[in-house]
Amino acid sequence: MAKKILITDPTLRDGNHAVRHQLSREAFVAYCQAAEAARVPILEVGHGNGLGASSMLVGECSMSDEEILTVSRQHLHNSRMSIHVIPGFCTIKKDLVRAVELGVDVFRVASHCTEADITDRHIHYVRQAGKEAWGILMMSHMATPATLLEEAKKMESYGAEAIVIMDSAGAYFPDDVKERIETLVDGLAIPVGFHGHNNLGMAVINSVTAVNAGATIIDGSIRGFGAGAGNTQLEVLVAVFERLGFDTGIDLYKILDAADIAEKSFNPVAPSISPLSIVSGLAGVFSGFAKPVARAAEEYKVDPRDIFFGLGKRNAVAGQESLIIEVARDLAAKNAAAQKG
Amino acid sequence: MTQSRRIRIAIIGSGNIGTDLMLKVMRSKHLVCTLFAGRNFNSAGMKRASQLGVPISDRGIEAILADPDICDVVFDATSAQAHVAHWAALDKLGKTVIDMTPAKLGEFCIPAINAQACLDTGSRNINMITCGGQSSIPIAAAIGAVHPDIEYVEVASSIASRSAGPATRANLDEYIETTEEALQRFSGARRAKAILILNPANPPIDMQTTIYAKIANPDLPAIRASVDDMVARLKTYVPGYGLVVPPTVEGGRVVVTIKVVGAGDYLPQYAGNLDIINCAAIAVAEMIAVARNGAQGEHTEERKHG
Amino acid sequence: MADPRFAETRQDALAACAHQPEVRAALARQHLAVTGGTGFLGTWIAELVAALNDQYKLGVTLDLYARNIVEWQQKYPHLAGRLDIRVHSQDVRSSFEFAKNTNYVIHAAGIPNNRVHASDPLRVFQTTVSGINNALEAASQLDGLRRFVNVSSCLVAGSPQRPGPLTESDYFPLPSGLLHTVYADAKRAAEMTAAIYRSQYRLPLSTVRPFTLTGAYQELDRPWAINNFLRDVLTGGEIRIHGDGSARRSYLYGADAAWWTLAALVNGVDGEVYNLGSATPVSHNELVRLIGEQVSPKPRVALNTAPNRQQKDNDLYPDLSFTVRRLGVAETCPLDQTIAKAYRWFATPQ
Repeated sequence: MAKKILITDPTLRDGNHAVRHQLSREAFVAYCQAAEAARVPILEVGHGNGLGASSMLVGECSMSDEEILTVSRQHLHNSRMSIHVIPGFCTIKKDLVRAVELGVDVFRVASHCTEADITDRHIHYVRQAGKEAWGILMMSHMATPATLLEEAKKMESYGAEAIVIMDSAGAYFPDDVKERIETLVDGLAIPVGFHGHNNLGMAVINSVTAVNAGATIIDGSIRGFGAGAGNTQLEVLVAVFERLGFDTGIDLYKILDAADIAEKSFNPVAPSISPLSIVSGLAGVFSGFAKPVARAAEEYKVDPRDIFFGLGKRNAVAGQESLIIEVARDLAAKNAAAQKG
Repeated sequence: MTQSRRIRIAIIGSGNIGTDLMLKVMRSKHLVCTLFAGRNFNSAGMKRASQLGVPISDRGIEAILADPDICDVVFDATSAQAHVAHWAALDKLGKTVIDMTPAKLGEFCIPAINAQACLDTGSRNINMITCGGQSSIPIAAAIGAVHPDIEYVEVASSIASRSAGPATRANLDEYIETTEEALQRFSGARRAKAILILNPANPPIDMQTTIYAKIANPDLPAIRASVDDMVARLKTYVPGYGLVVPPTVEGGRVVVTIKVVGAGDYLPQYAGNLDIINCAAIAVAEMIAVARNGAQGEHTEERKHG
Repeated sequence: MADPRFAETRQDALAACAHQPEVRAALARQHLAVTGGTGFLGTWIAELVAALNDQYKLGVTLDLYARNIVEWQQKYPHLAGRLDIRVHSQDVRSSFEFAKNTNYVIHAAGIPNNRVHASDPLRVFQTTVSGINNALEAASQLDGLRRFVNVSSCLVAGSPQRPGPLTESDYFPLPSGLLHTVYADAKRAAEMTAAIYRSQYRLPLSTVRPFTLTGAYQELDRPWAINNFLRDVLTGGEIRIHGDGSARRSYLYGADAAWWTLAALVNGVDGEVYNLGSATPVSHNELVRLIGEQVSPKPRVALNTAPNRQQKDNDLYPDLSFTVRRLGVAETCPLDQTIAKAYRWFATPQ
């Protein structure tokens, strides 16, 4: 029997990073319909940083969480709807309660890979509400496999029903993925998943490696629509998995159609691996920093690549966009001093 | 200053906040710590208090109920849930309570903004909001003083992962909601948002907060002057407070970044977030002491001698 | 007793103690102390003491020690309001004293909630290790101490690596220094401390090792599998089983667990360990079916297998031959009734 892989599609969430969280209502309608037709099992929707994250810090969303969830729910019937939840950005009372009411099926509660214990209350709330909760470990390259397992086990005890590790910076090589997924699969009772980014051109092979190491959940976005160099390209994944004999339940032709629809509707230029993406991948810094780094580089007249390596040295994590200005100013000051001296 | 002039402080809660408060109280010329109460004699704070000769109890609030005359003012450094019951009991005893938890039962107090006004209300429950709130709301208020009609204000705080213990992590929601409520009130903004990020970098980062304000036509020089003035006021009770990025206009919004370096009394320097709320609480307690003693002249004299 | 749930728990308690008159007689006019007294086991022991006194006029007196007592007193006034039961606020991490006339001590203080194991392992470790230290110290100062029973955990034996029941002398390797075994490690340290006091200070001490206990007086938000299934059924949701559902557990009803602990006080022998659990193994699949029988329509069940993993979820249920032989106890509440009672407890609005 073919190995079953559960695909989660964060096109309409991670992809929001690529357009500064300005995805239109029409885009949601068009893609939800196309993905549903292709039998994508789970669609993740929302602001790039998840529920309640629309902010000046990480970018304001053109649509409210309420609007996004309502329009998506209307157009998803067999496909399940999921959201990304980062405690610290949203709260149970203000945000989760309403999300449950609006029909979210799967709550993917996320933390930085060493801070899983901030997800206790949110995962617990979701389970008490009778919904499905997953635990997500972001920037997972910043922890050893043993630490990842330790953190994943915490989420498991809070009630998480699956664990997905994210290669938020697109920094992984296949051996890194194999080691981590094997450790997690061996130590957990719940399914394990992988979310790739393509900064170093390895998102697809990393995802295949993850499956071979025992992962049963893989994330992919249509046309790689996502932060920085983009996510693992969904339609390529589906094709590759089909050829390898894995069963995703997704209709290949219809997902290719979805790619065309996405191209017309919101993603005319598929992400490519820019120099900045390569640098952020090598520096191990969150891909979503690309646009604010570019802005700061222009304003302070410094090399954006230097900003990335500077952020990497300071172990910048997602949400620390305010650090970008500081690093840029420091570099500008150093350059000025060097010129004088 | 003779011992009898100092007001007597009881601290409930023997964790990091309570212990650091105790050390600050001991250093203050206006305060004396007459009780350090928790639930667990084995905690690090209890052991430190015992070594320093501070009277300790493992009966928690019952130690005060059993001997109400032991203190004038109480610092509650336990939890929002516990504070509700504590306040009910202490209110009946007529005690003044400075609440370090996000329970928000009392008057929101930010010393640099409204310490005197707070005391003037006569309220005996003074709420210190949150650590992030103490660091960011003064700046938001300083901007609000120049632009009374801010549409939206947002504060994003980054704290060292190491400075956030289980209690902080279990109460992120309360932290956010309490900070937002106070932020809106003090800044006059129509909408307010608070974000908290834990940064696991090693060595640990200092507490850093960025304040964003959406203002149509910001008067930057006036904002800078107002903020500078506020920072100077903050520095009188939080020496480690400082501007990292002065008010800057960026893409239709005013951005300010501040940093707090802790005093290192009990907690490490990177725990500036915990230090600032404690400094604020001590500042309020000292104002209460001064007011009660009516010793304004003497107080000024002492300030000069430093 | 206005609340019908408490009428039922009283009947359960009476059924549990009905068959051992000699143990009842030995408890007459004794003074019991229970740490962790407001927890699941402590509450059932209080229920049993109330039943023994009301039904058999035994004159047993009980001190319950717990960190938080106000909520318990409000929830169970039929126990908290009794003259033969006293509740004391006491954190076991602080040293303390038992009442001078205490004859029997049951040390049940601890934090079995594995969400807390993950979020505050330091508190779990300190509460467990300091807690038993302080309890043993306090007990060793009692002139009239007849027995101290340490409520340990089946997890001290490590993770079983073969199917079937566990005897008290079975044990499996436990890796060192891994955070997720903090509770098992702390309980092992506690058993060691207890053994030291037994040997070095000649303290009359026995140990009970609970497996899964359930029933009335349980908190639904405790993260045990059975609670998750019950909650999923109550919220009308789908029940999701991780793994293939074949791992077997057993479920001992609270009244029996409490009575057996009292029997360990009376019949226990120094240094011995008694499994405290039901001998009836039931897989997760079977458990879900039994829970499903409480409701109509039957709940949807989803199996959540990771197909390429070797089966890791092993059995965890006890061999009771030693416990039965030494303590003379028997299960008075069969599995299907245990499940039904647990379901009813949670389904009734509190």
